[in-house]
Amino acid sequence: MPDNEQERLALLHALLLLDTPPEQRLDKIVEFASTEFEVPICLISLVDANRQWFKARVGLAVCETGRDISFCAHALGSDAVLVIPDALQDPRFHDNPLVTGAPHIRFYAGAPLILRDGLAIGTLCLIDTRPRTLDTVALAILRSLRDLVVMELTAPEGDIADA
Amino acid sequence: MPSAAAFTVLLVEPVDLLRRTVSMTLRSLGTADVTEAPTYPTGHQLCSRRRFDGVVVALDWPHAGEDQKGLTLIQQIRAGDCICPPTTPIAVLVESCNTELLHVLRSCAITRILIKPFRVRDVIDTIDAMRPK
Repeated sequence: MPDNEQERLALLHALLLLDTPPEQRLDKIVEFASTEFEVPICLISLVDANRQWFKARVGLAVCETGRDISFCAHALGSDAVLVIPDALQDPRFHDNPLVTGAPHIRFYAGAPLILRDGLAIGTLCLIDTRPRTLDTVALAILRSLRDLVVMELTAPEGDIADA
Repeated sequence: MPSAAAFTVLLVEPVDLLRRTVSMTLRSLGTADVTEAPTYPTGHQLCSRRRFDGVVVALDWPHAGEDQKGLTLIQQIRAGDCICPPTTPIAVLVESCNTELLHVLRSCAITRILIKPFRVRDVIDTIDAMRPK
């Protein structure tokens, strides 16, 4: 758990994002990222107390999973992108049910959605079913898309991703 | 890498998500300082006021005939009608490219043609290649 868990959850709940309908402005970003990185799954994941709920998603049928098996929850403790090149080789995730079963995650990259006061409410994440890595430019692109998500979440009246 | 501050690029592109991602990523990498133009009039205005070391112009726009304005902008740069030198490297982003368009683009000494579907990475690599080595 992050040290600021209570403040983090208070901010997440105050944003009134959980369990709200899909929004085109955010759907566009995950679709764009999925295409850019050629990954089958891309999510805007909001990490709640006991679950992660997907505000926008590509390639995944379910809208939430338990926090105890969440990759994204691990990405909240730092402002850096969490990259898991091969989950089967990572002791934290090799026996995770999302790795051993559907959707058979092998690669994960999660950029924390950091809002005010350094509080991370979730991630923009990329998931693949094969091992891979991200180079410096790819990481920079992911961070830029993450920043656009944060702008959208904090300026809901804006029209940043219009096309 | 050369100093990022020294290399300035004008990106004329209507799709906000593409334009902003390219701009933000190049800035964060320190590769180039990108000035964004979401419309042709903005692109024309910027070219008449400022010098850029490279220009990237999308030729596919939602409204019919807009692509001609993109070609006009390119031809104005080549004719020396802008602050940019006529030799400024120019890349174009297009939906498709037939023989006629290819002929026009060649006559304008276009540095690179990116045909959809391309990625942000491709635009970034194109701009990086414009920089003097």
